[in-house]
Amino acid sequence: MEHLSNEQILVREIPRLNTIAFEPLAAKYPMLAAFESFIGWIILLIPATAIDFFVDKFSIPPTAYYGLIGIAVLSTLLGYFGAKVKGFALRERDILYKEGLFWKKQTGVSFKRIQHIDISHGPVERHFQIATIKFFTAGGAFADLKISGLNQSDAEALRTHILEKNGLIGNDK
Amino acid sequence: MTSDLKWHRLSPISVLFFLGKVVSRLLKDALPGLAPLAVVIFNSDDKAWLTSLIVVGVLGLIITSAILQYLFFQFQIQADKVLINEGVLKRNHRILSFERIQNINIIQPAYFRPFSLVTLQLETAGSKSNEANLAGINSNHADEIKAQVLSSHQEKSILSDAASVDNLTPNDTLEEFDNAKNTVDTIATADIKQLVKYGLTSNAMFWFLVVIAPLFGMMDDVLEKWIGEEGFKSAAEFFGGGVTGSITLVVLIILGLISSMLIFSILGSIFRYYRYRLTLTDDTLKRHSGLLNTHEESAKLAKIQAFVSQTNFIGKRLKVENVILKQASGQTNQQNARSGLFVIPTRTAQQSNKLLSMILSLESPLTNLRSIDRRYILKTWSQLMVIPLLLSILLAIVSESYWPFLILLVGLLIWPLVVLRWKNFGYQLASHFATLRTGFVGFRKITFPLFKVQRVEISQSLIQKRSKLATLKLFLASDRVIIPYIPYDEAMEWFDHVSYQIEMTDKSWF
Repeated sequence: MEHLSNEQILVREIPRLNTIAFEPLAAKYPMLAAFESFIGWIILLIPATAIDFFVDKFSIPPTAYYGLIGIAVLSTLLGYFGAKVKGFALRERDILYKEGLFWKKQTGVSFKRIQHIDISHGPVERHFQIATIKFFTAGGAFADLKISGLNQSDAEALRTHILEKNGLIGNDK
Repeated sequence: MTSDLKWHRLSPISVLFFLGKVVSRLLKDALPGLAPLAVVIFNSDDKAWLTSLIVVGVLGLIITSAILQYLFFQFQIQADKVLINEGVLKRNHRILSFERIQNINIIQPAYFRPFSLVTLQLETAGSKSNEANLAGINSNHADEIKAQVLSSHQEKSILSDAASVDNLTPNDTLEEFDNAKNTVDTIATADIKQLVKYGLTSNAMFWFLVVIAPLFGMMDDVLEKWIGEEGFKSAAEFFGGGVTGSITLVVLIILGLISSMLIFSILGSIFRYYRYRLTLTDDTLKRHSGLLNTHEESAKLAKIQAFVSQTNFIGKRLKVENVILKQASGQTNQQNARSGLFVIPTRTAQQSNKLLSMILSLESPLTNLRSIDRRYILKTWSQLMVIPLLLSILLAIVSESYWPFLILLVGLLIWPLVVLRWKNFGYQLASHFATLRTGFVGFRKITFPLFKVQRVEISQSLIQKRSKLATLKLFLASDRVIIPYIPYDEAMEWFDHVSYQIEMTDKSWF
């Protein structure tokens, strides 16, 4: 067998992944992601500066500061553009998600395999009305799909839609 | 269907079980804490008195706690669920609905045998805490409960079976359905010879190593105290003394350790799988085995997520492999995976193919495996070389010489190993099934129905993108199947095909 193209299935015209147009995430999300990754690095400076200030014998070389700021700027840029390329697509029977600036990743979960759905948001996210939605499957932690940076209302709509499709609403299982 | 709304207690003999549980918990959790106690005893003036006081105290505590645990353990069997109350200080109320149960195990420890008592374990796919362990009930009662759980499955699965017979002709279906009723087929047995081979090929000894690894630190101290440097020296003297003597001694110690591990592994295999018998009744698999403790485990065929056959370098020589039927485990229930619930020891390749067709109803095994792209070798090798490279640079800077770069010669050793790994990679996608073979000196081959996949993922690095390659990951409820360095288009095809299978199959994955 040379190539496993499986004609039998091709003629049934199964939906193709490479024809999908992904929807971008919330418009505010790239800025937010950039801000969060910048703050994450800058926070490292606070204890370092405090030690530098209070402990006499210890001083941090300025190159370390420049290095850290350089890393912070770089990760801010990565955060921004990384968020820009993220996207999701809701199909009739499954949800698809793509991410990755350099390491591209595409993933899909069928509604049938979703066990439950979680919506969460951090303090900053809450202020901007942005939420993270997480789809749990039976495949364990690695098999769960997490999408950050959705509009709060979109995330809730998504959850309701999928639960309705699954007929899970009103079912206590 | 029996459904008595009464709370039952276990047999009083089960105090023995709780004793064992308390002791093993104590050994596991409190052993490091006992070290200071030993020091206290050691430094005290009246050792004998203090020791006996502590021993009596600990024994008293263990026995009281076992009796209390027995007294506080109650269970109730209802028409569709089991209720359990347990715990002395922390009360725990548990409800297990029958349809969530994936394994039913009946175990008879040696000390239960004279009283014809058994332990009934009802396991679910979820967390480990969510299982019923009824230690010390009458064996007839256990069989009754088992039948009850299985029959409640039956009602559900007949419906779903009827919906999923589209690949059989109508006549076939009816006949097969009728024939399948209540015929017990023994599909695998294992004699002592096979169990010895299983001990050699199952890699259980490595698990043994993992378990005792934390003890190694302690061992160091013990060796030093007991044998001491002098002892080692005199032993080395015995083998000719000097460097050669020490090396001989160390080699002998290592060989001794390995052979004792092998013996442990073989004995373990015999204890666990003595008089092994795997039967298939309707759609229920049942395994019966054990030397001192007899185990009887049952699971529905439909709950099997994947079929794994694997072997190590010894098994490759002996031309045998071990089969493991994987069930949903998630991340929380690794315990199950390790105790190897549905292991079928020592099969030949043909036997294992036959089992595969029987268990997953796959007509012929997938044997036209394709290999992954050669670029995998370079990528894996480069990844492995990062640490030696950094190390040699660091050492070169510190020592101000170029000699440390000789470390990089290790790459020459790693290269053929990576090539070996690449050669062993093989995958195949068929209309309803997929298979992946991985390995190094041994191999591991996993075959699974596509509709059982939970999530599909395609990832692509910059390097992969340039050569139009991708890595495909399929997440099952029992395993993660990762196929690296396959053509991107093919990965997309897999993605679409698996999605299609998930949607088009009416059977439940669980």
